[in-house]
Amino acid sequence: MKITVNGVATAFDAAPSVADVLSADNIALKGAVSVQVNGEFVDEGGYTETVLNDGDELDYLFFLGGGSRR
Amino acid sequence: MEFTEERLSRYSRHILLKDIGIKGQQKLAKGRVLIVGVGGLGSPVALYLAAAGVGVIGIADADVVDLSNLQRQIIHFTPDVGKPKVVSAARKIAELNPDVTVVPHEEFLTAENAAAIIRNYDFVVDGTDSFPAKYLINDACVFERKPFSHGGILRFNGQTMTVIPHETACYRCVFPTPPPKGVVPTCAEAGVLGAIAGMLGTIQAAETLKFLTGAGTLLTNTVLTFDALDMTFRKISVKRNPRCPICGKTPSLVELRDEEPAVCDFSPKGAP
Repeated sequence: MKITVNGVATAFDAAPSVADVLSADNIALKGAVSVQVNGEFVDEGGYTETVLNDGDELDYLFFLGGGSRR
Repeated sequence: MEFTEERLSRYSRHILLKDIGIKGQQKLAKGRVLIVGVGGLGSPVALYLAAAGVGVIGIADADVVDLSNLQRQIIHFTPDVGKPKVVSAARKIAELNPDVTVVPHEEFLTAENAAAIIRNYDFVVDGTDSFPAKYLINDACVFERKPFSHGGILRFNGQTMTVIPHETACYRCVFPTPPPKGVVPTCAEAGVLGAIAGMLGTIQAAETLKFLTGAGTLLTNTVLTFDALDMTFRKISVKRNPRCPICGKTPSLVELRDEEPAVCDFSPKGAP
């Protein structure tokens, strides 16, 4: 099955959870990203129980903190 | 503002644009913009807004120029090391465009002073390098209903979103709470390519000028992110989050507070 992860079609053998998709991209740390599935925010508590279907779109965004100061 | 021959010449390339013209240039002259942090992002923002003839530019920063700033904070020059950033920036702005009034706020934004400072402006630009400051700017702008541009950079990556509070998604809609300690490094810990600050800051400046003139479509309900290593740009649609702690259906934040500064002691695998 195919899930579109950050705009890239990605193949999975079985229906992955949000947590599976994140760990496939080596995002191991909690709280490092904001996740949307098909345009709806998924809270971190729902990463394991939210299972994706073929054709779903998952977008994750990193925190970027930089700007001013040293 | 009277359009003397000199001003017609100075702003001629704006006046030629059908989306700006004389009317748009007048709006810029009446515009009041607060730049929070005149560092990597705030430098190009301040220079472009000054060059564009934005009437009042407020700059809030309590820092002094450090030698390590000069790799990316292009409004500050080598002789400015040791000077307050607001003093250094104000001098460059005055030299670039005497039409501009600079209001220096030589202080960091806090839960105590943020609302009173922000209230004096039409638009706010977040050029800060800490999550407490970014959340404070978001929260103060949401409470004051003040449109603002969020920006963040790290290594070779940048990300920005324009927020019209209570109408479009805010920073907390996307990132409800600051990252846990140790999860996200800052530029000081992980580094940043100097030109990335210019790329992202210039996008923020363009958004500000679009907001003031009404030209085009803002980056609202949209996070623009780029990775300069392969020069990929992505726009991710977001929408207001009903569970947003500040602008959602049942907000838990009802007054300004300073978020705890995160201690960022390592960089995660897979992070930008």
